[in-house]
Amino acid sequence: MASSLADQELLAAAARGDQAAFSQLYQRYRNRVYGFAYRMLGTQEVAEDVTHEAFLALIRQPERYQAERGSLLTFLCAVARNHIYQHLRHQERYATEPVETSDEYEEAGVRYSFDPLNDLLERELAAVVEAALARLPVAQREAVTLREYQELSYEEIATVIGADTNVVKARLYRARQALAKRLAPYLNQETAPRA
Amino acid sequence: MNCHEIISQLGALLDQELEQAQASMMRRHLGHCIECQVELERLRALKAALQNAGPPAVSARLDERVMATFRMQHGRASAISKVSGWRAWIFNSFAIPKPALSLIVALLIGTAALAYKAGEIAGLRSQVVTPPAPIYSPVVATRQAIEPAHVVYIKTPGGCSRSNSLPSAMLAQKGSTKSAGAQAAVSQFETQASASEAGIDYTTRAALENLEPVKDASVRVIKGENR
Repeated sequence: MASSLADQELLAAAARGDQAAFSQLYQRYRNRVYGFAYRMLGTQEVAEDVTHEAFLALIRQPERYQAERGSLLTFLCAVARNHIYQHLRHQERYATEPVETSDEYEEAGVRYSFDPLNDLLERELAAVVEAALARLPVAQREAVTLREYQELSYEEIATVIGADTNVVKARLYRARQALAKRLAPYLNQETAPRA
Repeated sequence: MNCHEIISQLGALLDQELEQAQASMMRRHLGHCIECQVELERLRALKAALQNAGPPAVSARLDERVMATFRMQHGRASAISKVSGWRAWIFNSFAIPKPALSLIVALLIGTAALAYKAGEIAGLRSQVVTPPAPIYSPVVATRQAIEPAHVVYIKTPGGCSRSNSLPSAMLAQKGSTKSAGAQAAVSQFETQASASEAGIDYTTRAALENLEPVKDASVRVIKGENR
């Protein structure tokens, strides 16, 4: 709640032209908004465009954010989501090349083979996770991303996607089942039950 | 709750999204169910793997782009609010309510259109050439009475005739009296006018009707009053 009040205060100051206040808000949420866009779209450049658009809404129309409807992060993610879906629809309509596959990610992991072993394993796992995420249906990928990376509550996710919390639960369950299945070879060593 | 129901809620348990009572019930089940424990650990490992795969860092380019947008947006607003004197007056002049602004624009457009129209009419007037008065002659009077749309103009070797100069010139050339010349002019003009309208030149018509040709004048019949 304190964070929410601080957000509102910063936003009010930013609306009056206080650059330091806006900068603080931006630094607070940029990684999470950008992370959401990047996970959903898979390209750095477009994710940056989406992040810029989300903060642009905050700059031009700060009054659009209503604290009673959710946190500022929820608002930013909702704005980003609109742009993400625009890009996804555009990609579907004009796609001429297939979306990056897991093989390509695995090859990307191999390219890091000059790194130390631990680094290699981490990078390879990260690449495989990225690939598994990318292969999820958009709605499931969205739910996992908002939960695992943006750390939104189920209720906040429901606000962002405009659905019921039961829908969020169901999507998360299916997404996790699919991810666990695809990442099984990388998770087996850690799935032994604790004594 | 059976194992299937427990497993379907494990994610919510890890996310701390369950009611206290439901979470307690699940923990009791997990205390003695190995299969559900394995599933719980698998989900924990998955969450750890997901956390491990962070997106690339935000570039400095994006930071600068966003902050530049902020500066531009608020720089423009502060530029308007901070000006004073005549610049403030100009800025304030544009701060007119939209309905009033629309009315002013409409009035300006209407005034401009009227001014243009008035100028156009004045320009046309200045370009109007007063047509020469019709030749005063019985022929013309007769022909105008019969066919008011027909005006007869006569050209002489010296140029275009005036209405009151040609008949006298013709009469003087023929050496007749005014009344006799007028009669001759009537005859010749009738013949010339009808010959022109019929597509027969005067010389042919004169030969046919045994008339004396007028060699130094020609007749042109123009339909309509405006040349």
